Amino acid sequence: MLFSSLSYLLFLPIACLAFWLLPHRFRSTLLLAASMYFYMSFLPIYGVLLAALTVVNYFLGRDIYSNLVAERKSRAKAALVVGIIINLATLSYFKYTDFAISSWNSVVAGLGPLAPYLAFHPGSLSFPLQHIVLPLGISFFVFEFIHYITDVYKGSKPIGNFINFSLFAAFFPSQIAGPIKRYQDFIKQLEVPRVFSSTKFEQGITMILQGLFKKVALADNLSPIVTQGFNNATALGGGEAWLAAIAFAIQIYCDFSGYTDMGRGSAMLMGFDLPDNFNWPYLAKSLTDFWKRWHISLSSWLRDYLYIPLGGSKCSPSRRHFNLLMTMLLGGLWHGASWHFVVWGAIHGFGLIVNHSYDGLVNKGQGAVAGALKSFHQTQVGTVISMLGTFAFVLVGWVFFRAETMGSALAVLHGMASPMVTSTVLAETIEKHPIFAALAVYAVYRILVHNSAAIARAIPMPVSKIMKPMLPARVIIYASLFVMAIGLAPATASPFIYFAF
Amino acid sequence: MGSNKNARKSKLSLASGLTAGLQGLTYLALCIAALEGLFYLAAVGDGEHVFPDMKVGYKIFANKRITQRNEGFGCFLLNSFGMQNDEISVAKPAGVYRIAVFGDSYVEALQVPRKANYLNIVARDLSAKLGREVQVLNFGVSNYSVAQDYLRYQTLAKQFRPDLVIQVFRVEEIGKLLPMETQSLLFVRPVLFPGPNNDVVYDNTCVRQFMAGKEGKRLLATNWLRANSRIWGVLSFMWQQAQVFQGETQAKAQSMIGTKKSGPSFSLPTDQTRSNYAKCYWYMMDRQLSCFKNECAAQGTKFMFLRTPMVRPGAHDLTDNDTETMLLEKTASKLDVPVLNLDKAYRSWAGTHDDGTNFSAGGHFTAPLHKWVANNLTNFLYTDTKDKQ
Repeated sequence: MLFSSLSYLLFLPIACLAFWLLPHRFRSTLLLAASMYFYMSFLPIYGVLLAALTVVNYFLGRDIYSNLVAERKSRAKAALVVGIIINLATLSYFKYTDFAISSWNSVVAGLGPLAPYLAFHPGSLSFPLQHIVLPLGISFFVFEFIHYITDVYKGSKPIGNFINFSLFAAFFPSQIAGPIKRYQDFIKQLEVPRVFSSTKFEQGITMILQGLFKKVALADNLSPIVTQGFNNATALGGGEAWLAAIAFAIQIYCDFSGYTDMGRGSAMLMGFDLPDNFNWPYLAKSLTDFWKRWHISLSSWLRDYLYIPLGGSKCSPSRRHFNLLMTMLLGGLWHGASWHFVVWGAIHGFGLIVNHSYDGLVNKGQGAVAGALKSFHQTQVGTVISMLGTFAFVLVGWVFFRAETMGSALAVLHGMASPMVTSTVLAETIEKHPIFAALAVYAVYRILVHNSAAIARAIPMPVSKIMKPMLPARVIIYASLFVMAIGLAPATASPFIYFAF
Repeated sequence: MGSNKNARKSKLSLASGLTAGLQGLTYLALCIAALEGLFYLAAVGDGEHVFPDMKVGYKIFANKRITQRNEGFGCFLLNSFGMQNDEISVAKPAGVYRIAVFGDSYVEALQVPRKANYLNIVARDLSAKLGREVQVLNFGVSNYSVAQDYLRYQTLAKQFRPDLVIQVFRVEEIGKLLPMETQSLLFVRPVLFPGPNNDVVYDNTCVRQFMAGKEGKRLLATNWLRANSRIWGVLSFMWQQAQVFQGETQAKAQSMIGTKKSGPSFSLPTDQTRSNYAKCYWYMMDRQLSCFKNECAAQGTKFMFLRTPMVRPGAHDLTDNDTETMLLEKTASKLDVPVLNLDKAYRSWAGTHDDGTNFSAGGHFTAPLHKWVANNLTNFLYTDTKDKQ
């Protein structure tokens, strides 16, 4: 049941209505049932997996806490280690088994020429692929469980109510692709009765509509252009290679942030707040800044549960660089069991190392050069150049992220480096999709939202009072936005990109 | 005092309700205008191109811009006569050779830009070859049968006084011969039965039934919106999606609770069945074609058949119907009408399998196939015209 599907359009109002009609004490149970139904609508059997992991982590959390209270720290630590192993082993089995097998088989196949000199045939060492179906959202709820048991180990109070704990990972608005929640914030909201607020409800509707537009009108229209470009990478000229790469940058942002908006909006309809995941990432002035703005809940998770435990930045520069690289490599691998994700992680890892080193040079350096660079970055030109530079770097990373093979990634990059070469690979696909209209609408919408206060001030009082939409007018506006999103959407919807992770 | 206060309060709430209502109406008008403008600029919501017609079953809208994105891409302005053609004058300019082409969506060609369809290529190339202007008029309409083509000739095309009428007879054309009860406009057809005096008897019972039914009434009632509103186009699309979803959900629910009705399931008949069907009903087709040809001849218009290949939607192999081909050739010979069999030519040119190069996912011609058909048709017409000159 995709957020952008008709099934969800039916499911969400029913869930919301039931939520508000029931007294507080039954709401968690209702949400859990709704969330399990939502999850099992994809593949029922994986509901068992989610339930099993929930039970294991619930009791591990309690065990860790009781050991800490009884001052048996080593036993608490042992329970934590067991918990992390169970969670990571589950994730690894479902996500990385085939990746490990195919990587191993490639190594074995590479031994082929040595066959005459070996006592065995290298082919006999290869294994058949298992073709395991990845349970949706596993990467997200496993990270939430690890965060939970780690924080309990660090001294946070565990969740006593099993229903509430189950809901922490299963909550349908954030179940499949995050945001990766922190249980302390979420449980607080579950425990305090939600009070209906029409303002918040309307905010939720606006957010869902915004997310729907990003997903169906922008990301889904860009998807075929990107696919056409990356599938014909070697035929792309300079302009079209850039276009394909930029189209993917916008697609992945709109797809993922659209999903997040719809999830956060759905939660808001029931009075919950989920953390935001994006903050204008393509306006980042550096790579470090980018990771504070892109997939914020994942980057903060990686920081808290990987980078800092590895030693963080409070160690020697070489160790810090190692920590950064390792965090980004594993972050890349988290996205998918494929080498191109590892390369993407490595690119960002190296980029962050250079970024940190440069920041150290500029901010802590004493010389005239350091001073000049610092002042330059504070100018408008410097800011724009920093943004463009960061975006170009991120774009190169996205090429590796999107391309299915290294060859295809290099072909797109080669195209981007050949500005004089022309091609018409994308022309027909672009013509077929109303993407420019959708982008124009979104740009106007963002400008209006960004300048809403100034616009309101500019309109004289009686007019602004008359114009301020009352309920019927607002309903009409929401309905129009919905029709607009559907109208600009292509006939066939694409699944959310992050559902594959 | 209290009642005064209450009266004032109810007056106030009435006033604010009225204000809210008026404001809502204003916003509704503004939103409609904004959405129509946006959808017009984005070429969205203008996919519907036919409307119900009591005589022919359905017709193409006149002067409507339509955009087709499901299969290839095409954005066209239909002309004032309701044709997938550039604007034309009824009077034939002196020296112009006019060809009128009849057929279904393969002729209508909404899947490629108008300039790239084979009719336009033939017009351009044949004009160049003959050294005189050749106009090729597109009378194709999605899913039209030969009977509808003949009626379209009588009600529309005749006035253009074509020099040549080409009846496109794609493989499985005979499948559209018989009357059928339907809730889908593109299947609403009158039937021409063989009459007692070598003529045909017009029967539009199915059309009348459709018009009297729920869907027919809905379409008639919303004709203006379907012709002019792009918002309506989007809403119709949403409605169709919702109906598909409802059907799927019902089927799913029925299969879950084990109440799925086991009825006759539809599957394509065997080659033998299709062959027998063609043989059985060819007399009707033969009569329709004879009358069509004779009426053209009475106007001094030449007549020919163009047999084109077909791939079923979603399939990758050419559909065979040798019996139909044989029967068509027999009728053509009887009527002394030339046949250009491009189904046969295609098989020796490209084989029977297609990987999506020549046929789109919906089974229609892609631009390269339009070019190939145009080349063959141009050469045929050039030779034919030159020989007779």
